[in-house]
Amino acid sequence: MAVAASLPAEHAAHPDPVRLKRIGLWLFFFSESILFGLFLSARFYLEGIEAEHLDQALGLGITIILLLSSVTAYTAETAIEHDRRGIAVLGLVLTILLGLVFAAGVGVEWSTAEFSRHEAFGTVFFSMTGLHASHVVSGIVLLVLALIQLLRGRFSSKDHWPISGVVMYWHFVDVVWVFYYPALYLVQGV
Amino acid sequence: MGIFRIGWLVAVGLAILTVVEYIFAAEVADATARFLGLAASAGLKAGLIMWFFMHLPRVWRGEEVH
Repeated sequence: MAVAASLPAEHAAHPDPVRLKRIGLWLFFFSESILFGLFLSARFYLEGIEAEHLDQALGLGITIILLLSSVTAYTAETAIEHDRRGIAVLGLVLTILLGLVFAAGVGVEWSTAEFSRHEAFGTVFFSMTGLHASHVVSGIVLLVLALIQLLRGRFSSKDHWPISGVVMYWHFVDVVWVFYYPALYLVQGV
Repeated sequence: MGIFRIGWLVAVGLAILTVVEYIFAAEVADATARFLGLAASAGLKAGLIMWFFMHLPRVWRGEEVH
C-alpha cells in the first residue's frame, strides 16, 4: 500500500515490477540483517572485545578479496546494463573465482584455529564465519546459475533483473563481512 | 570504460578504509576509541557499498539510474 501510494498516479495501478522486486529484496536483506546482527551481538555479549589469536594476514587478505569480488560483481551488472556481454561474463566469472578463494580462506582459518568450538570465542567465531560462509556459498551457486543463463543468451540492457538481484545479494554478503571482519579480527587490537 | 568509473572509485575508497582500519586497530591502544573508530569505518564502508553498489537510491527513484 505504501509503495503504491508513493508512485505517480498513472503508475499506481501498475507499479514497476523490477522496482517491487528490488524493494522485496531489500526487505529480505533487512530480515537477514537481524539474524547477522544477533550473532554480532552475541560475540560482544560473550567475549566483550577480547579475542583469541587469529591469522591477521589471512583475515586482511580474504577481506580484500571479498571487497574486490564486489567490484567485479558491480562491473558485471553495469556491463549487462549497457549490453556489454563479454565484460559481464568476465565479471561474473571473476566474482565466482574470488568467492571460492574467500571460502577457501575461511576453510584455512578454520583448520588452523588455535581454539575449539567449545570455548566462548570459538563458538562465536565458528558460528559467525560459518553463517557468513554459507551465504557466500549460496551466493556462488546463484552467480553460477546467472552465468549459465547469460552464456545461453539471456539478459540484455532491458531485461537483467536476475543478474542485478544476484549481484545485490553478493554485495549484501560483502556488507555483512564489513562488520564481521573488525568484530572478529581487529577490535581487540592487532 | 567510463561506465565503470564510479565503481572503481568506490573500490579505491573501500580499499583505503580497510587499510586505515587495520592500521587504526594496530596503533590505537584505548579500547573504547578503537571500538568506536572501527564501528564508524565499518558503517562508512557499508554505506558506500549499499549506496553505490546495491543502488539503494533506485528503491525510491526507480530504475532510470544507470
